[in-house]
Amino acid sequence: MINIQNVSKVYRTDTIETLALQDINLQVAKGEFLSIMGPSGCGKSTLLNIMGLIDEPSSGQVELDGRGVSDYNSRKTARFRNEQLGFIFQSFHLINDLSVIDNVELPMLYRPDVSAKQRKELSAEALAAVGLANRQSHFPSQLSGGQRQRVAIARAVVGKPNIILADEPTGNLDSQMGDEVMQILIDLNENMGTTIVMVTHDERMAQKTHRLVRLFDGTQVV
Amino acid sequence: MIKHILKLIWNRKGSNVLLFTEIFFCFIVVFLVSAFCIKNFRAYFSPYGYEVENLWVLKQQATNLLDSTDFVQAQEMLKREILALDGVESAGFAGYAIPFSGSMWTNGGDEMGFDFYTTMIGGDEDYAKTMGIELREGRYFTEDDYRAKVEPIIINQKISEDFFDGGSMIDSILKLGDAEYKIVGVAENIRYRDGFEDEYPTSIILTKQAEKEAVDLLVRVAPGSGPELEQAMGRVVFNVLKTEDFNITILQKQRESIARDTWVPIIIFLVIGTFLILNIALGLFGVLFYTISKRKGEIGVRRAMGAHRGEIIRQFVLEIYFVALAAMALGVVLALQVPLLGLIEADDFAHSNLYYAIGFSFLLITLVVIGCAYWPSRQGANLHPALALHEE
Ligand SMILES: Nc1ncnc2c1ncn2[C@@H]1O[C@H](COP(=O)(O)OP(=O)(O)O)[C@@H](O)[C@H]1O
Ligand SMILES: [Mg+2]
Repeated sequence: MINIQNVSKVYRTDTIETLALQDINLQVAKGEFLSIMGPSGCGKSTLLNIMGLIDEPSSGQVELDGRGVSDYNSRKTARFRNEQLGFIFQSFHLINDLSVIDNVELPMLYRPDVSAKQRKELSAEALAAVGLANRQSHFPSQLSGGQRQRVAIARAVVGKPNIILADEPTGNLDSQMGDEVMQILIDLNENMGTTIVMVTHDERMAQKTHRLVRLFDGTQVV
Repeated sequence: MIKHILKLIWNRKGSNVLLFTEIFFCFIVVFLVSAFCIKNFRAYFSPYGYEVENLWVLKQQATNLLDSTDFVQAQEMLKREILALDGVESAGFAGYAIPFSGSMWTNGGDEMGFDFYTTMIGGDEDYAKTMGIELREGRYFTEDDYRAKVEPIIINQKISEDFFDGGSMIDSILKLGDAEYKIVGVAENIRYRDGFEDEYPTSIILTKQAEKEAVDLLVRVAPGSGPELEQAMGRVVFNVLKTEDFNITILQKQRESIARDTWVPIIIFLVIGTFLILNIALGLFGVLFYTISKRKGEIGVRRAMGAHRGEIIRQFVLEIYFVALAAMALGVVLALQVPLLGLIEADDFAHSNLYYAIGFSFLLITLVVIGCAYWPSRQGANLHPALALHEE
């Protein structure tokens, strides 16, 4: 499903050069739930962003769904992200000026073939699936952290992507809320067969996934 | 997408109020400046009704000192001799008001059963022809008119439209005070004050030479005539009147000099208006840059969700333009009250200037807003999505 080959990433600023990833090789099978762990700054987010086509590797190959994507133009990668990928972030990244339902329908907005009515239906469905059916017209600021992350999950799944990339999805949540969010991801993986790659700091969460990869200073140690 | 953008605008109303207010005032300022300028430009370039080029006015005082019989003879001789010069095409005496001299004479009354008024200029039988007044119907004065039972008059079309039904007026009688005039010609236009005035109801009557009503000689000269002809005219004045005291006014120059009084405020308004627009554009630019940089996280999210650059640009530009549209709509509604409620005294022509000004302001602000919104939006859209998310 995801095939990362010899991927390196260097960030260059005027003064320093950071080697964020070094020669990473990683395969994720269809339907797999993989977790990535490692100390802060070791390149986990960078790796996830590269898998999600919102960042480009300095060298190496990225294959998604059996297709090499390095030669995709920006329009095509945007399309790919829209149709195949769902993102969940540690800090939720909801748009505060939009109501919950409007946040959830965001990915559908960039699909010209989906009507407004369909968008509404799909978003309501996705919200219901994360237990927030009665919060549609709330604004993010009126929700708890756990609820916000559930909204973000609804947004990530509304377009029925094949892959979900979650960057420390429980990092800002207390353990009970974290467990709830984790359970939703597990259900998604088990019931829908969605491939999930999740970065986490929490050993307990990592234990619940199929496989664990550890990074250290940009290199893969396990 | 449109609905999505409208929701965003509504939910961000706190920060959009400022933008709205700024654009609203900008619209009002542009409207006022452009209404003033359009009015004057259109007036300046609308027809005078005659050829201003190559018209000279020969002024002298000598004949005024003569008694009326000698006066008439001297005037006739002067006109004949001037006409005989090479480069003079026609000549006629002008009375009461020379074009662009800054003076006018208005006459009016209710003898016809309604309030009637007209500014009046006078001249001899060759005056209208020398001016080159364009007639839409009827004729110029002739020698026979001096002996006509009812005094002849040439009116402009404006009189026919303002006071009558706009139809043919030939042979109709105008009553003004004790006098009666019979209309022999209708001119397309007659404007003669400074080139910026709206056309007034104006008429030309035949001057009575024996009463010294017309002293200044209006002369149409061949194109390209210059100092040589002026000198030749000087010699004629000296031969006929034994005086060197005379002067020649070139009407075109007179018109330009009197128009300067109006050009100055127009230019000042234009400069102030341009300066204001530039200021507002810069302010807008800054505000939009700031707003969009504040929304980097949103840009990153949208990009991650599959928006491509063009969609980001479109969203931001439309968001800002819709706010501008609302502000301009309010401006248009207010501006329309001026002609609709008749807040200023004006005819349809003057009101049409207001409509043009509204249209112009709308277009200009649309351009400025879209221009100012495009660059910051593009800048935002060009951000690398990972970076945009990172910088949240
Ligand atoms: N946009 C960037 N510019 C420069 N350096 C960056 C950028 N993003 C990340 N880095 C650096 O790359 C390294 C890996 O970052 P990241 O992938 O965010 O780590 P993690 O998610 O494991 O905490 C860090 O040293 C970080 O400072
Ligand atoms: Mg990270």
